[in-house]
Amino acid sequence: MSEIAWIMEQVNAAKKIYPVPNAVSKRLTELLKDKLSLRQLTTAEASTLAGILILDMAHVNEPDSEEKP
Amino acid sequence: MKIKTISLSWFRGAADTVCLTPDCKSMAIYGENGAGKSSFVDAIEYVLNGKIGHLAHEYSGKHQEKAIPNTHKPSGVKTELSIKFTDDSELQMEIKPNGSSTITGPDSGGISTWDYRRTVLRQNEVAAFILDTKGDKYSTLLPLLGLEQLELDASNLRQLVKSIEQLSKLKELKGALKATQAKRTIIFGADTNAQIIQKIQNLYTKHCGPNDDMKDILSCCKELELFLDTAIAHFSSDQKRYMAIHGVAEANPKDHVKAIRDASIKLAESTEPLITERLEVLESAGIFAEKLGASIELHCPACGQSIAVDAFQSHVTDERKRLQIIIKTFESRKTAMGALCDCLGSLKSNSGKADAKSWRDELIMGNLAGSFAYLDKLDIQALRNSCTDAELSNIESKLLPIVEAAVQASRKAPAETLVLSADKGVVEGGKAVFAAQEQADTVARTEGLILFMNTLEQGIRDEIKRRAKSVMNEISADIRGMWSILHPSETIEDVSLYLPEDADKAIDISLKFHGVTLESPRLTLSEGNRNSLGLCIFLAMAKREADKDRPLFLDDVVVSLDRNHRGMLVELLEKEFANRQVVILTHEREWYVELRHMLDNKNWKFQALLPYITPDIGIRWSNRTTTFDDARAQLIDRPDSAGNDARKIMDVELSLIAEGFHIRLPYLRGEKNDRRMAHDFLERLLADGAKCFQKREGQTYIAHNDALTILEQADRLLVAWGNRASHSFDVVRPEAEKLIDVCEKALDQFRCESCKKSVWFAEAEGSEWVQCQCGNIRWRYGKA
Repeated sequence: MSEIAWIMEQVNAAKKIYPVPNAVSKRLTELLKDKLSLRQLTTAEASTLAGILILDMAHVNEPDSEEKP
Repeated sequence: MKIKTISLSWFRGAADTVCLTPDCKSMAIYGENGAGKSSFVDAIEYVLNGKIGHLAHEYSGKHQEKAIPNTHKPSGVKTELSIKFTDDSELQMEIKPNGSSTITGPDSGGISTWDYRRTVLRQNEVAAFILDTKGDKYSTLLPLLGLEQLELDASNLRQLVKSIEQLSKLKELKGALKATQAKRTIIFGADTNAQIIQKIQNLYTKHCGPNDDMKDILSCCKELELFLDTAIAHFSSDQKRYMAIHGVAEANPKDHVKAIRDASIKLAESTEPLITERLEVLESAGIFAEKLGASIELHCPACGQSIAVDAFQSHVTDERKRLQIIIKTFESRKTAMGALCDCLGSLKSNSGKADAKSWRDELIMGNLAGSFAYLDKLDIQALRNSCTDAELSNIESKLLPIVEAAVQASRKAPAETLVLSADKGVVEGGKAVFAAQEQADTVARTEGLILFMNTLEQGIRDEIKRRAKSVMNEISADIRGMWSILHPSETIEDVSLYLPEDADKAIDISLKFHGVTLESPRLTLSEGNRNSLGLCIFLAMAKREADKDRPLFLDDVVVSLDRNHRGMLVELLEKEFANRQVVILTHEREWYVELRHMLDNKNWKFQALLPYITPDIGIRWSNRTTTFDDARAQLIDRPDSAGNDARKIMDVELSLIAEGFHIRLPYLRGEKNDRRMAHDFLERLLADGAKCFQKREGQTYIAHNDALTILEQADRLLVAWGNRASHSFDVVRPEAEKLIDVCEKALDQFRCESCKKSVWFAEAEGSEWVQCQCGNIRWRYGKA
């Protein structure tokens, strides 16, 4: 299994236990594929991303679905 | 990428340019203590780390500028180093007087990707991995496990969770919700949401008529609040007065003061043992820190045993748990303080209302003037942060009489006033409960996000553990393999790296000692065995990077190994690192001689350093591969020592030659067998040599008589002057000088003038002789 497919599997597995809006799972999948594995985030970067995730979390009305590679 | 040359100019012990030139081969370098061997290793460390670990102390300067340049560097010359690689690329570095450095060819040989801890192993670092904390072991191994990206993912997820907690003000929101919950309990007791809604609906019907429009509960509350405020506004001044007094009477500082006192008692109970324990920890930590400055070895100040880092960490974990309990008590105290302040705020506001002025004036004229003066001056905001027992007593003595007076006065209040006041309280409470629903949703959403991210992080950490286990099993198998070469049939088995269950970023070592599984090698291993295990771990890690073809530097790593294990290390290097460039630096002459005899000189170079004289002369190479220059260095001041050194060199060299030639010597019992001296070997070599030592002449071999003559001369001088140098110390300089020259010449007889190789090479298994590479000289086995 490729690393990207593995990340998606992890996101979907976590989502089954703690359902979150698709906006959150998509965002985290993208971040894990790219930004988060490059280097340690600075405090400012972490704060910005946290703000985005909090906003994403407010998207409660969309239908739930799994991440597809 | 292999190294061709390392050149140093006024760097550490070097003066004018001195080069270590392995020429892409492996290399064994001998030099007595202080000869300058480690300067070359320092250069590698400086390039890789930008500093030199063993110079990291207060006297070396901020950038180690006081320690890196040669102390006697003349002005106008530069401190420089350069490393040249197989592909002729060259890294050059100049170290400025202020310690900064400029670099050209920065990634020559791909050196930027070399990791110091898998490239260089020094004497004082051999057991470093074993002594490291579990966290440091994890960091060291992480690049080898290939899990850096996953580790970054996990660690960034953790950081994001922290940022989410801060940004969403989760803690504050939860605190506010807790306060609302407390208010709800006071007003509604154990009522459910449905019951509260029903109560408000009833009030709505009572005051505003039927809720035909099916307004939501918050709208009902707002409408009711408006109605009640309007009704109260139309009260007579007497009613308004009672309303205000009723507000004062409803304040209940007594219960809040009690709640704070209860929490304070709890806090004091848990704080006392905590302070005692913390003082003990601080005392131990102080001693711990002092010892740390002096030595790497740490011993418990109480029992003298080594302090296990695990035990220390477990203590810290217990401390943390205890702190968590105290933090909870702190929180409940703070909540009680907040409730008291809210209550006092309401008391102050209601008693200060214009409607209550006449009542207040009456009390001030009476005996509560001091109480109101105290209430007016009370800084409620300051009380939120700090509330001493004296302040609580003041609140009790000054403010409770005001509340009591209000309770008495409000008993005379007209019924409708009390009803409206009670209804208003219910409406305000209900509004707070349902308005908090939004906050509760935010908290639930944020906590959901955090739980999701924590699950994700845990999933990644589980995968890190799974993959790490697999790689560690491979490394462990290598460590065991290497250990069994170094220590055949010794009772330490199953050396393994493992991931402790109780920590995320941790790795430790376990082993079986006489059949008993131990979680740490530090529990039983001797220093020698610990160093040996450290060496195996270093080499096993280095082996993982075999494809990267980086050199390994082993600087005086065999100091604590006995002779047998040193021999085994050579076998280990030949078996596992035949294709890697290994640079061995040693001050052990005997081992260096062994290396020279045992290692194949097709792949290995050997070179000896001259004893160090002065910093302005610097590091110097001997132009011989033997170590007689050590002896020569003593000719002027100590000719006895010089002669004695020559004899010792012959003892070691000849024992290895005799072993290679299968020389038969009479059996000596016990340790005497190992203490044979140069004369014993020369005697047998001369006796057998007439038939065994041969040189080629045309198509045939004849006895190598010239060599035998020189060997005989060496034997004579060793018996005459060598023994005097060792025992009666009356050898004079010319005698010692001659002894050294003849001994060196004697050893040269076993080296071919034509191919420059020693008589060491067996043509084939089962061959009847050993010979030099070209076959010009040979020794026939057992032909005496």
